[in-house]
Formats: sequence, C-alpha cells, structure tokens
Amino acid sequence: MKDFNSFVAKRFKISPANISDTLSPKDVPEWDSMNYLLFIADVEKAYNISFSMDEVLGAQTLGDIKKILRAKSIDV
Amino acid sequence: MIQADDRQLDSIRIGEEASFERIISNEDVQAFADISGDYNPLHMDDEYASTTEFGRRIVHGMFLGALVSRLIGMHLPGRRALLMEESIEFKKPVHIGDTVKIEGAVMNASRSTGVMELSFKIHAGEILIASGRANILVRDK
Repeated sequence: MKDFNSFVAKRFKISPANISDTLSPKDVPEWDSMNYLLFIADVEKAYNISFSMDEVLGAQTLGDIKKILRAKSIDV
Repeated sequence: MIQADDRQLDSIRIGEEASFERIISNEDVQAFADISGDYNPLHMDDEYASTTEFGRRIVHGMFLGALVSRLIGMHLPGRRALLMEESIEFKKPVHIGDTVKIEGAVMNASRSTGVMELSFKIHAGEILIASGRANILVRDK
C-alpha cells in the first residue's frame, strides 16, 4: 500500500504529524500552483489513476483530494 | 532562429525517446565558465587539473545539465516546455573532446495537470556519465 501522507509530506515539505484533511494552500507555504500540479502527477502515477481537469481544479483541501481518490477505489 | 519541436501532451507517449550527440570543446567550457562565473581550476587550469585524481580538466557538470535543457526545450516536448524540477546525478567525469550522447525517455504524462516526467541519461561512449529525472509542464501553446 502506498502511503498517501508520504507523498504529501515530501511534496509540500511538511511533517506527517501536521497532515490533516483540512490542509489547504493557505496553510502550507509549499502548496503553490506548480507544486500542486506536481503533487497530483505524483499521486496519479503512484496509484495508476487519472484525475479529470475538473477534479484537479475543484479540490480545495487535502480532504477533497482524498475523496476523489476514494471515489476511484483508492484506500487513503 | 532555430525552431524547437512542437509536441502537445496528447501526442506524447510513455516510453517515447529523443536523443542527440555533442562533442564538447574547449570553447564550450570557456563559454560556460563565462556565463556561469564558475572558473574553478578543475575546469579551467590544465596545470592544476593535472595534479588531481582526474589527471586533466573536466567539463562542468552543469554544462551537461544545460544539454539536458536542450533535450527538453528543443525536442521532448520542445517549444511548449516549462521545466518545473530536475534532479541529476553525476557518476563519471567528462573531458574536453569527449562526445556525449544525451538521451531522454518519457516516464509519465499526466493529462489532467499537463506534467510530463522525463528520465534522462548521458553517455560518453559506453560509459554512463550522468542520469536524472525532470518534471516538465507541457504548456497549451
């Protein structure tokens, strides 16, 4: 099982202890538009899934991204 | 102006490759030193370099990195490229007069984000000089 939080921690340079579903760009300095695209690309590759452009643009928090993944039968 | 290849993300396939060769001259090393300001004697001073473990001057590692920039910006994907991040590991030195081959292969292409992942290797003959990965945004135009 790939650890979703490890992708979050690595890409956004935050401690795993500080990861929560409510995290959003305003909480994480490294969560800028470029890093967000790289993060989604990381996740797509790791879980062998594809987001739609609407899903990428619509997600506001980490919890939103996890909901999208769960809808694709990914256990996060 | 030299024209870059123009690849849209939808036309790029995982596993697709691009490559080119370049003979590295003393003028290249001098030009890179002038541009970067890196006049380290290991690159610029024959006498000093002859006393090191390398025996002669070696080419700046980041000049090789600049050739990777050419691979990305001119070939794969070419004109739509915006380099987002890159890692490179240097394994062996390159000397003036060496011919290097820069090869890249597409490892991933995300349609939703426009991000393409490229794996690259640099060889001098059969010797692996450097390898790395880059994430590139393939812009719409």
